[in-house]
Amino acid sequence: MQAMIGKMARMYPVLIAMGFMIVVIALFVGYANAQTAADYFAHSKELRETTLMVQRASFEGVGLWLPYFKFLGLGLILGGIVMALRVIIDNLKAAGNEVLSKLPSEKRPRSPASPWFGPVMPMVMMAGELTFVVALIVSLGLARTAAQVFAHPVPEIDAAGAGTPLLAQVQAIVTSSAWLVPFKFLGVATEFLAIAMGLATIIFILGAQTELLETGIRIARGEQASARHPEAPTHGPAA
Amino acid sequence: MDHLTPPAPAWQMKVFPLFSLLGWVLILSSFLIGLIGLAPTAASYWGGNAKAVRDAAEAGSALLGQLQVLSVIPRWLEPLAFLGVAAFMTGIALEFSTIPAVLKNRGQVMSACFPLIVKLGGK
Repeated sequence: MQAMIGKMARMYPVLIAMGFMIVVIALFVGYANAQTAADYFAHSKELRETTLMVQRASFEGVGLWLPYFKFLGLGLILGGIVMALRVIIDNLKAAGNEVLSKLPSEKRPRSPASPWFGPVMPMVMMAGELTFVVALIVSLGLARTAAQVFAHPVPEIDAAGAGTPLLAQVQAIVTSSAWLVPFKFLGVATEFLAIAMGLATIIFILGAQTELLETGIRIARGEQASARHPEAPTHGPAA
Repeated sequence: MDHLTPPAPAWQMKVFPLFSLLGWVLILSSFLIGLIGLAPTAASYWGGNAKAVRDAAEAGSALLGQLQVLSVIPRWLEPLAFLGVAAFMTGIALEFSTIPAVLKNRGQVMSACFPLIVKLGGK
């Protein structure tokens, strides 16, 4: 499982490029949406509310899903950073193991175990990505509902009473948006948590490898001392 | 270089989990406030009343209270979530700040290594 994640992690530039492309596409969609809104608000209130329903439905709908699409792009970039950290971790471990393999097996110190959060990091990253995907799917559903609501003239929407399907749809949009906005930040938090875990793992490995090097120096000095004085113990403390 | 002194434990490594925890708590709180506080209020305000009823709400009425909640809370809820993001980023910056000391120590160890490598290689 970890080996498979390690292989996938090497594709981190793809994740970052995809995320960046999504954010750029969001900019173009946002610009096009702004033109629709500009066209809509260039007309009188009466005409807007009774005739130009298609434009209203379009920019209200896009306004609902576009922020979550942008956050999916940001999430992919953050996921790419997490995967890049994973590649650094794998390379550090491989280099450390290669150096240790040069020591005689009977004097080779044991590699320290990775901290528990190292292997968990990619899973946390995936949980964050899932949060962004769920938020986007829900927002697409809301955009569809908004398109249905704003297909009606505004006076008809305003007149919708309690228990009518139209008011139920308005209720669904406003209610879902209330929790969906902070929900996307939960995805950002999860991605940042994965980055923090990855960095902590790298710092741990760097520190542990330095300690191993010091152990290697002590072993080498011990060998030199035993070569000069064959009766001296091989494993002596650092000189 | 006979004695290698390991670097003192970095205070940043003790503090960064607190920032990560703070970020997590702030963002989770903002999500829960949205889910448990705002969403039911929005459902009640928008679901049971036509526009005419909502517009006619008198000062002190429950309906106007709900409108107040829906207008006031989102104004500080998003900054709270951003504070959580900032706490996470501060924690990550603290982690980064420990790396130079770790690398410096690694450099010292390497510089102690090389004379030994040269000596052993000469045999």
